[in-house]
Amino acid sequence: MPNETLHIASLLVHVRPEHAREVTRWLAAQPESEVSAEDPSGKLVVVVESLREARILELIDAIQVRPGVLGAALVYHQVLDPASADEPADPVSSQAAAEGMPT
Amino acid sequence: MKMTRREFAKANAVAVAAATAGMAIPAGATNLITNADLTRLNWNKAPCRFCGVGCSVMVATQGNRIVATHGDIHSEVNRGLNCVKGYFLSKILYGQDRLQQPLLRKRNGVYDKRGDFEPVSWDEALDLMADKFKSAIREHGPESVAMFGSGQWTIWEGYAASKLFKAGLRSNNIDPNARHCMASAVFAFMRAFGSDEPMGVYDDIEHANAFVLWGSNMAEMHPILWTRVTDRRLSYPETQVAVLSTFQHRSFDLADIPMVMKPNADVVILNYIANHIIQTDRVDRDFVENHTNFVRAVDDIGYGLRDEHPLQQAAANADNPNRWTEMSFDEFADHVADFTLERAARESGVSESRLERLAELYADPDIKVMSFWTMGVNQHTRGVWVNNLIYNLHLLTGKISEPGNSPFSLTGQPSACGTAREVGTFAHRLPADRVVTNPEHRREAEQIWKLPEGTIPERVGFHAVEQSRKLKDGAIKVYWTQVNNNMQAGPNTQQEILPGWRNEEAFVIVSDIYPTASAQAADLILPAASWVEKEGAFGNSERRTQFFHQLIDAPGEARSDLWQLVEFSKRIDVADVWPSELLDKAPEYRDKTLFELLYANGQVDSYPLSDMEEGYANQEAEAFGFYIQKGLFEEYARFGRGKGKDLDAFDNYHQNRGKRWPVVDGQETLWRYREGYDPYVEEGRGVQFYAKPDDRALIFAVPDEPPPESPDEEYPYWLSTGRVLEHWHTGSMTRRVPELHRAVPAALLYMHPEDARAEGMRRGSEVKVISRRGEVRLRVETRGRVTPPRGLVYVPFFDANRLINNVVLDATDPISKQTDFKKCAVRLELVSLA
Repeated sequence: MPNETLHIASLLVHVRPEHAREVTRWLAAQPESEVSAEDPSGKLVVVVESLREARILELIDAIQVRPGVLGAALVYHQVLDPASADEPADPVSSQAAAEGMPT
Repeated sequence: MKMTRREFAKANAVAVAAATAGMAIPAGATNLITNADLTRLNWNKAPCRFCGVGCSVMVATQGNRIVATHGDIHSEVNRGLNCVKGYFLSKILYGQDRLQQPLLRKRNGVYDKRGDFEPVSWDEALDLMADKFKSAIREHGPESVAMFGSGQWTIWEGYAASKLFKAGLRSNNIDPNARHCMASAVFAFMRAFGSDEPMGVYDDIEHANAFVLWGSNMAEMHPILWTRVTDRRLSYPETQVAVLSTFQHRSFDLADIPMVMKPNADVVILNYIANHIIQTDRVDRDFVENHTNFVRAVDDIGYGLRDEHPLQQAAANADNPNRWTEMSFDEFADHVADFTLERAARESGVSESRLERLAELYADPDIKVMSFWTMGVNQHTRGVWVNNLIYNLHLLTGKISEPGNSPFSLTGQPSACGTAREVGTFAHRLPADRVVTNPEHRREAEQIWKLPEGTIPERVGFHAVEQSRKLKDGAIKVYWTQVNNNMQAGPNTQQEILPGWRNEEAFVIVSDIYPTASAQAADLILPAASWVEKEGAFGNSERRTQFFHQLIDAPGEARSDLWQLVEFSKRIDVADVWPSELLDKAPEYRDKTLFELLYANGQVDSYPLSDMEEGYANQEAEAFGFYIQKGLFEEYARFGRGKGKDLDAFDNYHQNRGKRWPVVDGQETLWRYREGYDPYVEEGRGVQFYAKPDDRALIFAVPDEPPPESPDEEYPYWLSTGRVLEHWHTGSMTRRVPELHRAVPAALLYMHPEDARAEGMRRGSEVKVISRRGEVRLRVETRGRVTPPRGLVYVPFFDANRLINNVVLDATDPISKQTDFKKCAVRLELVSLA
């Protein structure tokens, strides 16, 4: 395990629809987060990228207290070696699909 | 399309989150699905190892390491979501101080109770253990050995341990830490319904239009279920949420009916609601007449303290508190008539209007109500009674065993239900609701286990708190604990537990993954494997059994609890621990080891390694030469089949996301006791509480009795203890994750700002919390996540440096023997103002 690690996480944020625009704008202004998908009923998919894992928790806490936010739940978390993060992902066959193993 | 690893991970993160939310997958991530095999990650399912909710988590490994996790979209429990604890699941395995080899206290090269820990081989550790067990049993009998286990044991670990003790060593002195957590729930289920565990399921959440929290902070302790409750509340605005507690916590944010009550007032409130249902003529007469009986519980039952304690001496029914006599509906109505709205409001401190709104959630036939409770109810000197009082409300109104009407007892540990309760690792239980005191139950167990009659002792073994007392008194000579940290989690540490463990006559073994407070107080430490370092099975709060494969190897020489138990059993001969009369009944066992008696018994060892699913390691199976997990599971499953506790075939669980028992003909059961849902209900019966001899559930009349200790002039505050979200139980795992530790670094004393001012303290002041038993130093917090009312202080129990359980009273519910961690009397002393 390398000493320095890169953390990629995604969050599902529930927000009252009338506050969605404002929350989206705030999230876009944070250096580590981007809003990757949005649903008009008030659901946002947020991706977080950080070298500091603690920052992910801090961000969740900060999102929770934004006006109109009903909840921020973690969905995905992956640890990468920052040294090789920008190398191409190498194709290896016969792996299960990312969203879950076949049922 | 070429993607970098970073892009790939991000696309993955988006795709999974979007799928979880039921949203269209964004353009950038769609390629991912077609290029899914780009990933080098190997994904598998595993149930989370923290709480009793039983969320399924997808775990990605690369080499021998977990590198990613996400909520399992295919799980009916969490539907892709994950809470903070689950999110950091993998990191819990990677603390720097992970135990990797056995450690024994030694001086001059030999074991010495006052020596220092030195690394030893597994052979040296297990040989010494076997010697200690054998000599204790030879000199002092089987009651001189004991084991303290856990609701975090996998199903087969708990089964192997229970069988080792009850059948092999012939001692019922085995108890799980679920005793501190679920024992009151178990006894109440058995009293009311004759069968343990809830009749309903989590699906009730999406059918209910009212939720009542009786002493549970679900928002922090069961966050994924709370998300489902929140969803229901927001999607159906007529839904009502009532939250009752002795202090205000985060679940109050969603409450339509928030109620802070005085400790112990729940008995009065629940009796008042029953009275309200009767007075307003909303009893479901048909249901009550056909499916229930009314009984009066014995009163004056004491507080589960040591026998010589004055409160025990004064109690008329301390010796036999789990009894009742029949009564009529009219007598029951008379009994609850004393519990008026005025009285409930006066004694609880909750306003009459809120209590009446709460009562209407149960009384109104058009409201489907789900009751939730955990430690506020169970860790209570009248915990069994309060559980029964909640069932009373659902039974009086017929609001039970159907979608949305559901009294739901939540659990704290991942397999409190699956292992501690269903396997029967309690000192009085055998698998599938059997008890050691029942001769037929013992005989059935002996037959399944191929043992001569009389092998399993009749006497109930020492329960958790009694084990500490017996260690201190020198009656227990050898003590083995696995997957728990009782030195920190148990009550009255300084007066009972530590003196017991350090008693010169005792040899104490702790199996754990980290050097916990318990490990450090032991004589021998065995390094354990955890979670997906072994093949496992857990059973969650809604009767769902879930399996996981071994996905990585444990570090160093760490070995699973199962391996430890079974490897130990090879070192003891049946003749070492059985009396000759018993050996005469089964001479074929005279020259056998406990391993051959219990595990290589022609049943457990009947599944070859070739039965294992390809592509997965299995340390224990490889070590013992047969598919031991399958063998243990299939032998265990025989206890429940045809008894309303049917489990599915072993192999199926590795493929599905768990099934809720009883599983009959491959079909799980959502609502027990209800025709159309539960295959055990006979045709035309509608509802049938079939685990009771006359098919009727019991409604209990119980009085209000005072707590063992209440604030007085000398000790003027109530003390309540509990958890915070970021830490779990004693923090032995979560405190290894720096991010979690930093979020809530040390236990605080939560108190009302006016109390602080009156005491001359302020936020940040260092104070001593002093009870009649001990003291602890803490910093005052007057803001934040927990808001106590005046006169009550709250302390979480996860912090090993601030052991609040030094202060807590070791009073227990006299029926369940579960400790009351929620109320005792303390005073506060200022150390420095800050």
